[in-house]
Amino acid sequence: MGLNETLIFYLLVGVAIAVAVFLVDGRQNVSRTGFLLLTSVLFWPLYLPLLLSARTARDVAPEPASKPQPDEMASAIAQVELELDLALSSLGGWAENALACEKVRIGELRHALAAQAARIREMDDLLSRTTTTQIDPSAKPQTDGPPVHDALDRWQKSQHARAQNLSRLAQVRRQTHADLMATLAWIRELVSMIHLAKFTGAPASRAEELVAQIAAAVEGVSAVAWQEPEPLTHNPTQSQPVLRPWLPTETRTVIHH
Amino acid sequence: MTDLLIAELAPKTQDAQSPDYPPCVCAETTEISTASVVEMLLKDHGRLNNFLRNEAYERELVPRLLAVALAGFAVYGVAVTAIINALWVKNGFWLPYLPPAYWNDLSVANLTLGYTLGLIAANGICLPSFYFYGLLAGIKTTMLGVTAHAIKGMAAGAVALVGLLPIYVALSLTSIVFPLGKGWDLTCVVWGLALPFAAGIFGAVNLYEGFVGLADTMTCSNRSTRQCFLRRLILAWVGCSTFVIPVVVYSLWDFLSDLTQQFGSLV
Repeated sequence: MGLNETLIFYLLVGVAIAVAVFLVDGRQNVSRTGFLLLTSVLFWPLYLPLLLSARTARDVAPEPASKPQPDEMASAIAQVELELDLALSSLGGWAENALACEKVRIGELRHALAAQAARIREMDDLLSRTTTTQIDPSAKPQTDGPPVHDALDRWQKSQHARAQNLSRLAQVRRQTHADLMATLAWIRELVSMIHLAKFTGAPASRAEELVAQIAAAVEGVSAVAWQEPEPLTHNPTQSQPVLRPWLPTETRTVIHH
Repeated sequence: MTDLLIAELAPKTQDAQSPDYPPCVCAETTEISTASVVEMLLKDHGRLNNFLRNEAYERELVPRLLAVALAGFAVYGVAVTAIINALWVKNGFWLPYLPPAYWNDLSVANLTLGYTLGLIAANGICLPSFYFYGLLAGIKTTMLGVTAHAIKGMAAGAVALVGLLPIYVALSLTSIVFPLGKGWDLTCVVWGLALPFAAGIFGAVNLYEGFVGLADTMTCSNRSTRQCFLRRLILAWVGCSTFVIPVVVYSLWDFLSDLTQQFGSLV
């Protein structure tokens, strides 16, 4: 088969793809439709992925009316990311190297923040679902015959343990949420320090140090996000201070439960 | 404490959206025009790369990036056709083995079509291998995402080509106006034909930045070992397309020359 025959087949496939493109995207303005049709005949290999992903793209981008509103955590993370972007972009002409070194870790930090927020939402979802089925450890199961004491005792213990586990899960949720908020506050503090350092004529090494501290926050977030849920030994009703171990000594924050 | 922090942060999110730094959550409402695509290609690669992470935007951007690439290569084709024809008329110089693109017959559009169609078609030919390389490296992407990145590289090259064109035209005019010898004529023609490849370096760098940025879709454990592999694969793909493009462009140009010759003899 020579080049002529290949081109004929190529253009035939192109026409078929152009028709498909018209059916999917064709009800827009004339110039755009014309351009799409012409280029999809000539460059159909580029339009094929576009056609194949059409359905999924529509599923991914739902109608604005049905879009869920971002919750408080998402808003807080977005705000902190905005401030962080602003601070990092202000490094241009002063300490670009600082950003170049920590770009990957700052990207990881964003993902870690989002992951931790998702984890909290998951716990919220789980807790809201389990609390709908009220747990009463003192309640007795309904049986037709006379209750067997051993089985009843086991049942009550299991119920009690379940209630305790859920209570601990709620504590873990509160702790994770507090950690996330502390990290966000810490990033904001460092961002303000970057602005301050820039306008007080601090050396570029100071910016590098601050950016490195922001990037280091990812370790704290990741550690919280991936740690095993250890049993809580302290009494949540007492006001126990918890130190954030990843923070530098001079700015270490104290969170009271 | 947490409630206080949220209360402090939440109201600001409504009005703190700077046009220069739109947060990811609001990017879905941004309108993109072809002019803004060109602007982002020149000034703000990062923002364009962010848009290309969203599938809805990828669908919107693919035809726009293609339009930018086509327009850039078409402008280049017209300018270079004019220059090599001017050299032919003025000094009688036509590069040996160069297929015809004479402005006084049907072959006038051959160079423009050869480069415009050939550059983009070669990109399409290399696209599956690019997708395969991405998967091999372990990044999470779709065929559409890979296509969008590849066309973005092509469009960036076309924009750079249009930027380089005035310099090339100015230099070539010297050989038309002044009798500088055959060597200079040869240099002008060869540089004219090689210019898309020189400008393509800008496109390749753009593509490299965007695609390496997708490394953050890998898991943390894989990133340290596979990011370097991803870089090498992208370089391999750029190398592969650098070999394919001249072959496709020359084949297409030669085919169009034969076609116009046959059509001319019929007429």
